[in-house]
Amino acid sequence: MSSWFSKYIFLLSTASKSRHCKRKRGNPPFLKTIIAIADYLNGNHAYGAYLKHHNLHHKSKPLDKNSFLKIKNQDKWNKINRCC
Amino acid sequence: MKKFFSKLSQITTWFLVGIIGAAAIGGIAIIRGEKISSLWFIIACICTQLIAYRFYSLWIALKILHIDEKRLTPANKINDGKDFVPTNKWIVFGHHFAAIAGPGPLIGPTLAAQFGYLPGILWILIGSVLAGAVQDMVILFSSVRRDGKSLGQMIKDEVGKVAGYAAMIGTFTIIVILISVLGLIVVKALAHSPWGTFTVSLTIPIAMLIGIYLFYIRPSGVIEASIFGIILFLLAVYGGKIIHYNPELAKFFDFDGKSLAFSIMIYGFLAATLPVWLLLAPRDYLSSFLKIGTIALLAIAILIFRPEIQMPALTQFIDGNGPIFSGKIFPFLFITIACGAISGFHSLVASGTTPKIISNEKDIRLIGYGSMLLEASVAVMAIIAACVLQPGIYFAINSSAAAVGSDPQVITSTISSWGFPVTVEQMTDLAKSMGENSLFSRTGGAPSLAVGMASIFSSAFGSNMLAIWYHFAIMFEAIFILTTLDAGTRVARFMLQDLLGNFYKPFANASGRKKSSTIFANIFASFLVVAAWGYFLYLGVIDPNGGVNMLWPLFGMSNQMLAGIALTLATVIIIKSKKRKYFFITAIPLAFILTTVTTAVIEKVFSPNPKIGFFAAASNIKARIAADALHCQENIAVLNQTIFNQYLVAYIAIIFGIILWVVVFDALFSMIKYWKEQAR
Repeated sequence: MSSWFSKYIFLLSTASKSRHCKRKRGNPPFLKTIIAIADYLNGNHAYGAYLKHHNLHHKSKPLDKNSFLKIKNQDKWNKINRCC
Repeated sequence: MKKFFSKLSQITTWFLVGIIGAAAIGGIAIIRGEKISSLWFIIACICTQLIAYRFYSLWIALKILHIDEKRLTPANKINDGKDFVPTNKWIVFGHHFAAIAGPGPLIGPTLAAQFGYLPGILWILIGSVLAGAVQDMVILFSSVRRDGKSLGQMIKDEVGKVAGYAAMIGTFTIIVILISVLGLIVVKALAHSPWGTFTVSLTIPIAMLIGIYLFYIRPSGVIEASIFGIILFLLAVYGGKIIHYNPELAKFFDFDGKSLAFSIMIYGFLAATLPVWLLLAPRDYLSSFLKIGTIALLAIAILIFRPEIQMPALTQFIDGNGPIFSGKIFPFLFITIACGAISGFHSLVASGTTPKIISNEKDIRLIGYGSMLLEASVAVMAIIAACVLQPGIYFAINSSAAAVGSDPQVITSTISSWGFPVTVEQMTDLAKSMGENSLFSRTGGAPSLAVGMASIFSSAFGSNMLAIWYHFAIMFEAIFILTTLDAGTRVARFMLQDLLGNFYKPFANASGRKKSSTIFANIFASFLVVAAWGYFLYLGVIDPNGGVNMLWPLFGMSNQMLAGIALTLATVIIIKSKKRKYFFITAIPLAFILTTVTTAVIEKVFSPNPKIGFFAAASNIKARIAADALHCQENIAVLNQTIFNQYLVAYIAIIFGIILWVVVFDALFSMIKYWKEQAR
C-alpha cells in the first residue's frame, strides 16, 4: 500500500487483526470493506489481480503499477459506464 | 422452540413493515386539503423497498433466475486484472450505483411535480420495484451468465441481427438526445448567473490539476487527490460569492443561453478529444464522491428537518395544460420520470463493466435490484425537494416565458390566478437570498431543485448559508451532468467510428492498445458527435417554449424505448430458459412500456394541440407567420428554424417508435419458437 491513507488503513487492519487473533477471528466485515475500498481506489486490487494473471499466463515482464493504472484508466472510458 | 420463536419474530417484523408501509402510502394517497410531512414519503419508500427487496427480488433470484452462488462468474473465470476482476460486493454496488445514478432521477421528478406529488411518488415506488429493478437485475444476470456480453451482443444472439442493429441505432440516438438535454439543463441553470458560471467553470481547471497529479505524480493517489479536489470545489463555490457581489468581476461571468450553449459544445469537443487522464477521469472521481456524499447529506437533512410538503397531491395540470410541459398524466408522467422508476440506459451499464467484476452470483440481487431501489430513493428525495417549495414559487421558477410571459408582474398574477399565490417581492427576496439576479422562468428543473435542496440543507444545518447551499447544489448538479456529457460524447464517438470504419478503414475506432486510428479520425468523429448533440442543444436554447418542453419528452421516449428493448430481451431469455410460466415478470412491464412509448409518440407527433403535437406546433407557427406580416425578417428566420426543428423531432420520435416495434416483432418469433419447444 502506497498512499498515506492506505498505510493508515493497513495499520488499523493489522492492529485490528492482532486484537481479533486472540479471539481467533478475522477483521470485522466493516473494516474489511473499508480496506477493500481503499485497495480498489488506489489500484492495488486490480494490479494484484493483473500480476497474478500475468505470472500464470504470460512469460513477458509485467507492467509496473503506474503504467498498468494509466492503461486501465484509458480503457475504462472506451465504453458506456455513465448513465442518465 | 427457538426456531419457532425466531420464525415468529421474523413474520411479525415483516408484517409490521408491511402495515406501516401500507399506512404511509394510504396516508399520502388519501390525505387532501392539509399539508403532510415528508416523513410519510420516506417511510412509504423504505417499507415498499424493504418488502420488495426481501420478497420479490428473492423470489425472482431463486425461482426464475436460479442464482447459484457456487457457479463461477466471468470475473473468477477470466480474472485478467483488466476488465475481469472479482471485486468486493459493496464496491461493485457503489460502482454500479455511481454509474446508473445521473441527473435523470433528480430532474424528471422535479419537472413531474407539476402534476402534484401523488402521481410521481406512486410511479417511482411501483415502477422501480416491479419494472426498473427487475429489468436491471435480469439483464445483469443474463450478462453474467454470458461472460459479460453487452446488451447489443445479447440482442443479436438471442433475438436477431435486425433487433441488434435497431438497438445499436437506438443507443446512439439516446446518447445524443441525453447529452443535448443535459447540456440544456446546465445552460438554463447558469444563464445570467455569474456565481454559478464561475463555480462550474472553475471545476474544469481543478479537475485538470487533479488529473496531472494522478498521471505524473501518483497514479495510485486517488483518495488524497479526490479529497483535495473536493476541498477546491467547495472553495470555488465560496469564491463565486466574491464574484457575484463585485459588479466589475461579475460581468466576465454573465452569459446568455446561446453563449453558454456554444461554450458547452467547445468543452464537450475538448473533453472527448483530450486524453482521458487529463479531464474525464479526474472529474469522474470527484463527481462520484460528490454525488454519493451529497445524496447522503440530503437524506440526513430530510430526516432531521422532515419538511412539510407544500404542493397539493394533485394539481389541475393533470388535464394536460401544464405550464412546464404539456400533456396528460398518461403517458407523459411515465416518460418524464424515466430514471428513478425504469430507465433503459441502466441495461447498458448492467451489461457493461458491472457483470465483469461481480465475484459471486448471489451479489446480483444486491447490485442489480438494490442499486435501482437506491436510485428510486434519490428520485423520492428530488420530489420532496421540489414539493417543499411554495407551489407558486415552484411554477414561477419552472414555467417558460412562453407559458407565463416575461414581465414579473404578469408572471406572478398568472400563476396566482391558478390558485398558487406568489408575489414579485417574494421572488425578488428569494433570488437575493440565493445569490441570483432573478429566478423567474429558470426552466430545466435544476434551479428549482437547487432552491429546494438549499432550503432543506439550510433548515437542517444552519439558515445563514442559503446562497452557499444553493450554489453548492447547482455545482453538484452541473458537475455530474458534465461528467455524463464528457463520457457520453466519447462513447458516441467510438460508436460512430465503429460504424464509419465499416465503410472506410482509417475511421475505425482505436480503442485499447491498437494504434490503427489517426488523430484526424478521432477529431472528425468527435466533431460529428458534438455537432449532433450541439444542434439539439441550440434548438432547445432558441425554442420559445424553453426547449426542455420539447427535448425532455424526447429523451424520456428514447430512454423508455431502450427499456422496452431490454425488457424484450429479458422476456426472451426467461422463456428460453424454460421458465415460461414466469414470463410475466418482464412481460407486464414490457406491455406497459410499449403502450406508454407508442401513445407518447402518437401524442407528441399527431396531437392537434400545438402545445403537445410537433406537427400541430409547426402548422401553428406557419399560420402565425402568414397572419402577421409585421414580423421583422430576423424573427421570421427564427420561426422558420423552429418549424424545421418541430418536423425534425417529430420524425425522430417516429423512428423511436418504429425501432421499438421492430425489436418486439423480431423477438416475438423467438418467443413463440421457444414457447412451442417447451410445450412439446
